[in-house]
Formats: sequence, C-alpha cells, structure tokens
Amino acid sequence: MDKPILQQWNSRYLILILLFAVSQISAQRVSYDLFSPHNRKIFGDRLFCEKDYLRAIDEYNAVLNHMPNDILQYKIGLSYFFMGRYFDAERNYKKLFKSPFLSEEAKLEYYRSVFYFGDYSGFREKINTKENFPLAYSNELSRLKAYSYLMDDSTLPPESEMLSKFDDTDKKSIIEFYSWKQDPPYKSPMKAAIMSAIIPGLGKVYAGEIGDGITAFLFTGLFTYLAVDKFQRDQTTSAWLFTALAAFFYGGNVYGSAAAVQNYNASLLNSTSIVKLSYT
Amino acid sequence: MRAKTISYYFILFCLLVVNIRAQNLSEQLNYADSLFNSENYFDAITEYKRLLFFDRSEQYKYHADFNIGLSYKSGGKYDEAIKYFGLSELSAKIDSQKINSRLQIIRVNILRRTTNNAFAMLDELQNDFPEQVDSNTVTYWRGWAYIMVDDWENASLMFDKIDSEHPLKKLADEVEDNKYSVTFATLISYILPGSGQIYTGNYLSGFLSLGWNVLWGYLTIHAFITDRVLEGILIGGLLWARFYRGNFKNAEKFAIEKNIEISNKAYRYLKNNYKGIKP
Repeated sequence: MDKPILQQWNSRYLILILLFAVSQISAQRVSYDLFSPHNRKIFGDRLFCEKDYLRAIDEYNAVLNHMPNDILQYKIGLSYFFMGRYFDAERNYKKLFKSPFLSEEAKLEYYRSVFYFGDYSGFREKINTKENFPLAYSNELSRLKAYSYLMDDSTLPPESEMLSKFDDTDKKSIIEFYSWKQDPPYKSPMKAAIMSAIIPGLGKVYAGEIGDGITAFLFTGLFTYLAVDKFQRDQTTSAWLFTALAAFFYGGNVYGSAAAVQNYNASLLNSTSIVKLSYT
Repeated sequence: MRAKTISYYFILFCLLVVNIRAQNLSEQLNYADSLFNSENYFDAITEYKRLLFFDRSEQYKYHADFNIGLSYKSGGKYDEAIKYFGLSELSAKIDSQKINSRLQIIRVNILRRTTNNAFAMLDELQNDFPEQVDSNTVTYWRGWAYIMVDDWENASLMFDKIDSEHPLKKLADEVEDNKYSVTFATLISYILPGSGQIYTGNYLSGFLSLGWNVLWGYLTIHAFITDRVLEGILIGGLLWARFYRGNFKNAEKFAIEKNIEISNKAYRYLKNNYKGIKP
C-alpha cells in the first residue's frame, strides 16, 4: 500500500520541480533578450562608463521609450554635456525640472550648460529672473554668475561684490582676472602707426619689437640719405631709385608697426582665454 | 514509468535553457555581422559591443573585437582601431588569429604614418612566427610603410625583393624618376641665379630672379668701381644679397612643391586605381 503512495508522491515532487524549472526558464528567457529594457539600461551604463556617450544616449533613449526614468534622463543630459553639446544637454535637463528627486540637480546642470554654451548675458538674465532657479545650489550659481562677467565684454560689477562669492583659495586668481579685465594692457595700432610715421621704427619699439624698430629706422634713414645725396649730385636715376626704396621701407615700417601691435594684442587675448578656460 | 517520462522532459528543458542563451548570442552575432557587411559601421560597433558585454564565456570575443577594430579603421579612428585589434590579439586562440590581429595593427600604423612602430612590429612578427608568416608579406608591408612616408627609393627596393616586375615597384621607380632633386636645384641657383627655378619649370620666376640679380650685381660692382663704397655696400648688402638668397630659397621651395605634386598624384592612383591589398 505504501509503495503506490510513495510513487504518487515521487511523481508529484517531480512535477513540482518541472513547473519550477519552467518558470525559471521563462524568467531567464526574458533576461536573455539582449534588447530588453533592463539589458539596454545596464549596457548603456557600461557605455557611459567607457565614455562612449553617443551610444549610451541611444541605449538610454530606447529604455525611456518603454518607461520613464529620471536617472537615465539625467545621464543623457550629462552625456550631451561631456560631448560638448550644451544645447542638447539643456533640452534634456529641462525635462527634469518637475522631477521629484532630481529637480534641483537638473536645474543646476541646466544653468551650467547655458554657461558653457557661451551665452553669458542670457545666463545672467535667467539667474536674475530666477527662472527655474535651484535654491539648493544658489551659492554655486552666484559664483558662476560672477565668473561670467570675466568671460565677455560686459561691465564688471564692483570688485567687493565679485569677490564676496568666492572663498579665499580662489580670490587671488579672481582678483588677477578682474584687474586684467578692468584695465587690459592692450596697445593701440593707430598710435603705433603714427609713431612710425613721425620716427620710422618707433611704432615697432612701442609694440615690443625693438630690433625690428632699429632696423626699420636704419633702412629708411639710409635710403633717404642716399636719395637726397643723389639729387644733390644730379644723379637723377639713382636718386629716384633710392627714393622709391626709401618710400617702400617707410610705408612698410608704418604698416608693420600697426600689424605688430595687432599681433601683440591677439597674443594677449589668446593667453587670457587659455587661462580662463583652464580655470573653468 | 510516469516518473521516468517526467525526468526525461526535465532533462530536455534543462538543455533548452542552455540553448536559448547561446541562440540569443548567436543571433546577436549574426545581426552585428550583417550591419558590418552592409558597411553600417557605427551600428555594427554598437552591436558587437553589446555582444561582448553579454558574452560571459567570451566565445565571440576575438571575432567581435577584430570586427570592431575593422569598423573603427574604416571610419578613420585609428587609435581606437589599434586598441581593439590589440584586444583581439589577446583573446586569439590560434596563431593565425594572432597574426591577423598584428598585421592589422601594422597596417593601421602605416595608415597613420607611425612607421617606426610598423617597422618594429614587422620585425617582431617575423621573429615570433618565423614559419607561419611569409617573408614576402613582411616585405610588402615594409614597402607600403616607405610609400606612406614618401620614401619611394626604399619602397622600390622592398617591392623588388618580392618581384622585379611588381606593379608597386614600377610605380615607385616612376615617382622617383619624375621627382626633382632639391639639392641640385639649390646648387645650380648658387652658380647661376634663376637656373634652379627654370629647372623646376618656373620660367617666369627664374628669369625675373636672374634679372634682379644681374641688375643689383651691376649696380654694386659699378658703385665700387666708381669709389662709391658706402653705396656699393648698401646695394650689395641689402638688395643684391636679398635677391640672391631669395633665388636659391625659391628654387628649393619650387622643387619641394613639385615633388609633393608628384607624390600626391601617385597617392591618388594608389587610392583610386590600385587593385592590390592596401593598408
């Protein structure tokens, strides 16, 4: 009598195991789908870590087509930001302004994207109107606003107001930028040209090219002397030849002085921009 | 009897579990390959990377890494290509796969003109696989490396070792014959101003240069003869010297420019018309 019952129990036990196995297989069949939202998300995370941002965005967008996910939306924004596509980053962060968990962070990143996009006056206008302003990060944005004045040609606020946003470690660099911005050591090309017109070579010296200035002075002077000397001796052909040469060197010296000052100003601007970029 | 039947079904389902996972990866590989074969390289890279990510047993690693490398190479992303060819070499299971990976790395180095790396790797390849790698293959790629750094003379020597009638040897010889000698152009300009420019086909510039040098030379000598020493020094030092120097500098510049044109013509032929294996 026991044996048939035992057999019945063995059969039921096996059926239960079988049903359990089938359920597991079904679950695994879903996870073996490489294009399931879960798998696309984890693959996207891997791409994000590898800095393959464009592909990570594609994967995250595919997941978002199935279900909303604020973190993935935020990471899409970050991906665009890291790729330098600040306008696309702004567009993505805007979608998170009403997020219950990431609203403040999204607003901060939105403002950072506007700043990095380069529209500094627009950036300041948005901050002034407190448009979607993240209160939790108001100090960070105040510093960014202060820094934006150094990035374009707008009127600087008072120095004390600027410096109040920064801590002691940054104040020294900010003061340096501020002084440079307020009174940039640019030189005037017109002034250089006029100086060279009066005394050949003087404009070049003003531009910092002392050797060139002396050379221009000597060449122009010598050819002028020779021209005058030839006219005095009635050697007309040679006289006109040296006159032409003197005029050529004189004109070149005036033009060259203005160009030298423009090069000087450009190199100054370039070195300032590099320093500014490295600071941000 | 009934228990036996259930056990058989249970084993069958277990086997199915293994097959489903393998089948998904196999389908993914086919999908990635189809994108690669249709030259859709950006998507192919994405799908190979997806395959690599989910392929825990790394059975497709060599193939996926190798094809990612080829895709990046096609897109001109040589640094990434080298990285993935390097990974494919590490996951290669047999010598032929390792050799293929290394050859691709060498070819990418040739393309991006890091030929020192290419030469070193060719030597290494020959040392590591002396029996599997044909010496003609190594010589062929050495020849290409010389071509890419504009050294047509050495390129000709390399292809000559493979076959004295090799089409690339003939091309290299033709380029070398057509090129102008920069040294010769400069030298004859020292002797006769303007001749170097005439040698390179710039006749107007050559005759103008000759004219200026004759004029300033005459005026300088005339000034000295007539005891106008200061004038002679000024004309000779400031004008004649300037035009004389400009003459041989121009000759050098024109020769180099012409040679660049000749090389570029050869590169265009190689890109558009040459049917052999290219880097």
